Amino acid sequence: MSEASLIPPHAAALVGTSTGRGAPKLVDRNTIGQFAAAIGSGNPGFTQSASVAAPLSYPIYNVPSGTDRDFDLQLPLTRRVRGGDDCEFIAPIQEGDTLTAETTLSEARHRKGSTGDLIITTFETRYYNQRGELVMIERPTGVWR
Amino acid sequence: MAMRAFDDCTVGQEFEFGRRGPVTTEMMARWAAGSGDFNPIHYDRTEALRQGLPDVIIAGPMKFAMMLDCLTDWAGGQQPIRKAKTRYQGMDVPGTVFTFHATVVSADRGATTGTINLDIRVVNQKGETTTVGEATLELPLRG
Repeated sequence: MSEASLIPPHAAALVGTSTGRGAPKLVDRNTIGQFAAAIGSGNPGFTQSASVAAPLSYPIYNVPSGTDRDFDLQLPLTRRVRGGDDCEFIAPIQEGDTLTAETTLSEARHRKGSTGDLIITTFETRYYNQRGELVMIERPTGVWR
Repeated sequence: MAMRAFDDCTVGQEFEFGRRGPVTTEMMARWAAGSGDFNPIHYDRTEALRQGLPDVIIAGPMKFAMMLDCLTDWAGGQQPIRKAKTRYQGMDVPGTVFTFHATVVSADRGATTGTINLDIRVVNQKGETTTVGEATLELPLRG
């Protein structure tokens, strides 16, 4: 006999749907510097060049609109941890670029873990620059307990 | 810093590509503020303890960013990383010092560049592997 899923119908209906493109976000030198400080990086390319490069995973850090946070899944389990990240880095991102994000909910599934019920969510976020070029794809996994 | 070449890498080769830390609560606060990830387990010790955690927890993408930064340094300042993934299998708390380890699992020589695939382990100062990952790098050929 199959067990009842903990995925609510409204959340199940969101699988395969997209946020649409979020608001554009400027890649600025100050935020790149904050990122570098947060990870203890001494890479001068993030702070001292004429045009600084953004760290590879910068979009995860500072493009909040059009991302997985725009989904209101209202799951019955509320304690969330990050299970993993999976990225493709397609083109460089520089200071002065403007990024937009668009996220699709790829999967929401319920399973029994050793400590009880778990819900696993997977999203796919595509990041584009101001020329409409795809610069990065990110697939984060969330684990809800 | 010399740029790393494809010819420097052989399948089965194991190497350490960087260390980072000790991670401070200030770094974690900077990460939360910049990323907008205000899950209280990353900055509110009282809430973290209430949830049964040992302390505030270093955000997974923050560890991922450190890993990518160290791997970029190892490559000699160029940006050869085409893909990377992580799985966060353990929790890390303030004071952690990370050491990043890799094993070359495959190497494919192309006409103008070579591609290597790495298995990655992120180890804390207790010797615990709290994050595992993979990365694909495209490196120049020597000469």
